[in-house]
Amino acid sequence: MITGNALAIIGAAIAALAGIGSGLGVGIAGQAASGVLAEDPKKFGRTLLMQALPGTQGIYGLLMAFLIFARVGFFQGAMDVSPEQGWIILASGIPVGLIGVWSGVGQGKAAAAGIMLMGKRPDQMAKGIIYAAMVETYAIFGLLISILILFNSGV
Amino acid sequence: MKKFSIIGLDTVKEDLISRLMDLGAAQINDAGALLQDEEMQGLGERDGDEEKAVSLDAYANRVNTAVETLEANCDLKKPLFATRREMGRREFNKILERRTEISKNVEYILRLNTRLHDRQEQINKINVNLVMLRPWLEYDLPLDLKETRCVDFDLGFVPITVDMEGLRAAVMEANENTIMKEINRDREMIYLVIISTKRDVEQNNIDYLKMWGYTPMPFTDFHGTAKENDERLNQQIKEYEKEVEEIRAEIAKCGDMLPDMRCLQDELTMERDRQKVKSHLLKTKRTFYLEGWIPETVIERVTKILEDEGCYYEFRDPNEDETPPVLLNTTKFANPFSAITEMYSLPDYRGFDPTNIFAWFYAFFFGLMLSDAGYGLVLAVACFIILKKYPLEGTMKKMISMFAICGVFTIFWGVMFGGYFGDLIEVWASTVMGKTIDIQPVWFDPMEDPTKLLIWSLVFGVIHLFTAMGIDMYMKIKRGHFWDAIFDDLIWMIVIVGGACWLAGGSISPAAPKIGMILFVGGMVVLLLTGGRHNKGIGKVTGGLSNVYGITSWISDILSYARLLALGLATGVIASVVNLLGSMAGTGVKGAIALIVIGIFGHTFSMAINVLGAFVHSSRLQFVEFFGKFYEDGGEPFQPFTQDTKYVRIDNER
Repeated sequence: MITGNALAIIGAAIAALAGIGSGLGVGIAGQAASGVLAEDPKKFGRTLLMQALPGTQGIYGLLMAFLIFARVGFFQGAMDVSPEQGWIILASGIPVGLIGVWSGVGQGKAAAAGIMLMGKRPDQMAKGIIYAAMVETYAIFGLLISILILFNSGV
Repeated sequence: MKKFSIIGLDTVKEDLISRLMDLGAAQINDAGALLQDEEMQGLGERDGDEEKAVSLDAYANRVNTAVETLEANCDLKKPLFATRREMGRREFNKILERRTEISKNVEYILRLNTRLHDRQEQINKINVNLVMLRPWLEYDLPLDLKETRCVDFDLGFVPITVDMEGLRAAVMEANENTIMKEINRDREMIYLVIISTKRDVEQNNIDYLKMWGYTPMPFTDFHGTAKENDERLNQQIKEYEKEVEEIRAEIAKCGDMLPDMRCLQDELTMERDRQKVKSHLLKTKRTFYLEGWIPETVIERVTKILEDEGCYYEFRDPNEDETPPVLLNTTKFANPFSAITEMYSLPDYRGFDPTNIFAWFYAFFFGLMLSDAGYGLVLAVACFIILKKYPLEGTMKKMISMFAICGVFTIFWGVMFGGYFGDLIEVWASTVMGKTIDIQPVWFDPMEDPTKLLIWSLVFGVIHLFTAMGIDMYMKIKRGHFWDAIFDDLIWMIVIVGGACWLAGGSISPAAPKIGMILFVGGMVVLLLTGGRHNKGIGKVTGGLSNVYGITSWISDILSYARLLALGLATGVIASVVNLLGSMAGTGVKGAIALIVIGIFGHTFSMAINVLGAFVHSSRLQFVEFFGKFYEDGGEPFQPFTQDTKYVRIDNER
């Protein structure tokens, strides 16, 4: 029998899966960054900045997981979640977790293209950053829905 | 911007150009287009001496090479930020009096540099040879031994994939008095020596061996065995390396020449620029003509110079068909934020420069997204120290000042939300001192009630968007499109306010939803009716429909401000995670040490990632949501003719 507590923790775990997207995204951007760096090692700082952009999905996942932990009293060891609440909390982890995976990869690709843009036209770097940041909007919407579900779950 | 045209006598040309450069406030345009004018035919010709500019440029490059050589070999402390040294004009000129001496030094350094490169090239060559020799070290016959009276020697290698038995058989078939010996093998190659008796027929071993992938390795330049050669070359490398070290030491001793050479390089750059700019001028036998742009603020000072030099001049407003360059004119507070405007693209000369307005929103949103008093304090203090310590210029200075201002706003929001390095104070009290402290936020804690912050984020967003619409209305009315301002902007504002009251006004007053509904529906009807007003025929209907459909883009614009909540919460949570990790080590002194050590690393990381996020998303909100409503970009930057120096900033007063 799955208890409400277990469901809540599964929800937190799903939220943290957004890190998959960030991991892949930062990796994709990192490859592009190394390519650009081979041409001009002075661009390290700026490529690093662009590479960090797809990292936010993982942070949102972490954020959501911690919000769930705080809500259910995971650290205090006094969890008392009914099965119904448990299911709701599990549902709250899904948007940020799932959207994070794909938007992380997407942002990674946009960031990689932005890094290459910067390699050729350093003055256009800001626009590359904005293109990558456009992708993040959807991860933020996912987080928003997750938070709204959690905070209206009645726990 | 004013356009200026100057006609003067040839005798004052050099002096005028110098003084304009020192002033650094006028952009000199290429006047060549005037020559196309029929009335001007035959009156004048293009000025400028291309060759002189090129030779000055080449000289400056040589000095630059010398400077770089010195920089690479002298033990210099590299500052965190490269800044130009401030220097009085008199001091600068005094250094340049020793110009011939400095030039000699430059040549001396360049000679050393050439020798250095030469030796390094030799070393590289030897290293290649050493690698080539390595597999043959076991082979103890002289490498240059190709034949004796009766025997031929062949050295070579085959790929490791080759069938050795087959190869051996083939060799034996060609000449049975053959010894084939494997000398060595590595991951890719097998190295062979083939010794065979001489035959009457002129047949080279190599020809049929090629089929087996055999490549001959003729050591033509070597005498003696591989081992001997190896020793000799190693010895030679050591000698060359010693010589390289000596040359480097010799260069390093010349470190004190560096400041003078840098001055010379800057002087040459300026001379070159003065020479180059002349090609923008027109000349007759005794006079010259010069034109360009200056901002209104410097007219007085330029006039003074022109009067001194006795030139004829004229200032006038730009014509309709001219596009003057753009120089952002900002308030003192907003000036650092012009870096953000420049990052996007300068506004059109006849468009609107929003820097003064969005600067406030930028700092406000940045603070809200970073939202931690501790991080804000660190950011502000660090930026202030950098500004005090380094004489920064240009974009770098603007950025650092901007972050300092944003840091102050962050402190404000941190206090409002009760974030001081997350919950560090509470955690410190409970783990180290065993007490419970509860720090109350001035406004509310977003972790407790994120929905409240979400609603406020959207409200801030609507204010931001309405400001952008206001600018759009202002521009439209100014250009005489009064009704466009009403139908494209004002009605939308009514619709949004109405929609908001309809959805959420119930909590303010019971009548609000009803009024909201009327405003919303009424506004939508007006939008439907007016959307196609500029179209003809069926376009009147489709224009209205697509106008109404525009509500979706408004919803996405407003929801985009949810990032204020997301990033604001992220800071608090990551900071709490860091504190949580620190508090796990234990209580008392042990806990204190763990909190400090983990805190320094953790909070540095957390701050870096959150400052980046706040910077990127605050910029995005300006670029996409705010600028999207009204911004006309495409302005050419104002590029004054100025001292484009690298190392020194010359103060003409001293």
